[in-house]
Amino acid sequence: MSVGRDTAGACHSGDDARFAELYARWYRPIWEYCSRRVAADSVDDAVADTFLAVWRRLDEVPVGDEALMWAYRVAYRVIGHQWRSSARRRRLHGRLRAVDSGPMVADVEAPPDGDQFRLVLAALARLGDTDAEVLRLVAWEQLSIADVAAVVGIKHDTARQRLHRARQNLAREYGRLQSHQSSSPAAPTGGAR
Amino acid sequence: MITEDEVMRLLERADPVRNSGAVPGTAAAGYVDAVRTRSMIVTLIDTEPRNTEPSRRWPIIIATAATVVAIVVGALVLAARDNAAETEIPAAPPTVAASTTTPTTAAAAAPAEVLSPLTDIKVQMTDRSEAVVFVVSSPTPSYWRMTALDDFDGRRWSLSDTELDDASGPLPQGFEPSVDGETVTQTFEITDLVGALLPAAFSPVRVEGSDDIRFAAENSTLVAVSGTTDGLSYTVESVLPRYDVARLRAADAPVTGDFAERYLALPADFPTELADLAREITAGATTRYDQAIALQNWFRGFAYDLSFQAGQSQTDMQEFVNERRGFCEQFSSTYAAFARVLGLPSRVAVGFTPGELHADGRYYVQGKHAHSWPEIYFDGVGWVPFEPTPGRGNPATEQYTGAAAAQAVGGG
Repeated sequence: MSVGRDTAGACHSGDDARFAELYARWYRPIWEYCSRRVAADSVDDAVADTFLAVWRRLDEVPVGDEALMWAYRVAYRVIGHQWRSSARRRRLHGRLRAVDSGPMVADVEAPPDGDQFRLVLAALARLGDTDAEVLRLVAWEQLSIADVAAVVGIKHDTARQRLHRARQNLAREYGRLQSHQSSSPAAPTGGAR
Repeated sequence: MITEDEVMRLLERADPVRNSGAVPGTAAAGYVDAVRTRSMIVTLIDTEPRNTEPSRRWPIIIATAATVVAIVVGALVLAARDNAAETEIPAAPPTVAASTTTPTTAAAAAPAEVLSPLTDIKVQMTDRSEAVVFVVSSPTPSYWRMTALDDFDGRRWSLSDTELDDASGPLPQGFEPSVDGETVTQTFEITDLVGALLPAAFSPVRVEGSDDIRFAAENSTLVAVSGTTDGLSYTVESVLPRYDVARLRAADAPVTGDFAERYLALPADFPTELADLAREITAGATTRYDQAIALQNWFRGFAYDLSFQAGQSQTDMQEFVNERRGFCEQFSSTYAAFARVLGLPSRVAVGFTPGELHADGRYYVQGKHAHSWPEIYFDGVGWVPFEPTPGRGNPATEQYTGAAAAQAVGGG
């Protein structure tokens, strides 16, 4: 395995300063990006992996406004890789715990909108990976179509079509989940305690 | 029907970061991230091909260390800003954030839950006394252990959240490899056992027979993740430890750290009378092993009484020691709690006694053979089962417990 920095031959103190500056500037947006996409216990790893990739590709960091989009793209790929490599592990593993009786429901107090939030997130999870990512970037990172296209690595027009279709699909899936929920009042979450 | 604009507004408000109380960039977190980034870089460099000249590698490590200093400073600055800014963000319940994970992680977040097997014992022994729950082919009889409960909240013993691993390769054994052991291969056929825990002689080191089986190394537990099914057959290779008294006496060092915290934990309101009693019973014992034996033999002077009101709470324990009668649920759980008072790391193992050997050479295990017993951890040795229940004895442990092999006979 080769380390990009290594091939540069020498270590410029300028690189260190540059990386430190990017780290300070990007830590927050990258942490938030990762927190929105991976389980809480994997966020730190995703952030660390992203900055490792940034460090190794420091020469490629664009200047100006594109730079953060480039960093998001790095994080997008890092997380994609984490998902793929962890999917198999997650299937193999799992957790075990014993409870005294009945199916236990972790019923933490929900906010007034809690159910709606859960429904819309469940609806999001039913979309294709790229469609869901386009919606997350628009709704949570508040990116423009052009920026979404840069992060996901698709053409501007394609991104626009994606967004259009993804919004429709999200509304449709949300409606389905909602009607399914209201038609079965004894949902599994109401089980014994 | 919800409109596209409405659903997008809802999605915006469901932003897990906005709804989470977690904040990035606290001083400690920033530092840890920086160190982790550094160590990952170092790891990558260290795994480079051997023929890479050291002179080409070292400068990078040094440069990286310099970077870490810069990162930490940056993170601290960031942290100071964040702490000021974050105070206004309302804390939201973790459930929302938890449900935002991808489908794969959401599925992984739901543990395979099983009923507390300790609570289930009385039902097995009374209502299902004669039902054959499984049949074992084994060259030697043993207790067939399912799991061990580590968490006591004052009301009941339960299993803390435990990682399940792939069980397709060799399984780590529950005692030190330097302890002598006898390898025993058993074939189990489940006939009427509800739940997900699979019996095996302690300690299983290999299992075959189903892709559905996983292993929790922490407590040497085999689990059928989709639940046990009648007719399920699997073969387990176990190593049965041959603990000897001299070695156990010599393993007298106290256990420390997270491990001790977990296996010595007692509720803050654990009754003083019970704690005093535990110390009184073992006052004459000079080693940890002798304390364990003194406790065991004290309990073995009680009467076995399956009609004792079922229970494992602190209140049940008090009644149990006052009346000096009960069944395995009280013997094992009270023993384990007393052991913790003395600083002996403990847990409550659950499983079955050997069952009845039939003409076909197999052990037929029935509901009445359901059993529980304590395990004590000895530094440098591992988990060691004891037998405080009178009228019960594991044929595989008699050499150091002194409790002769015995189990339930006749009805119940």
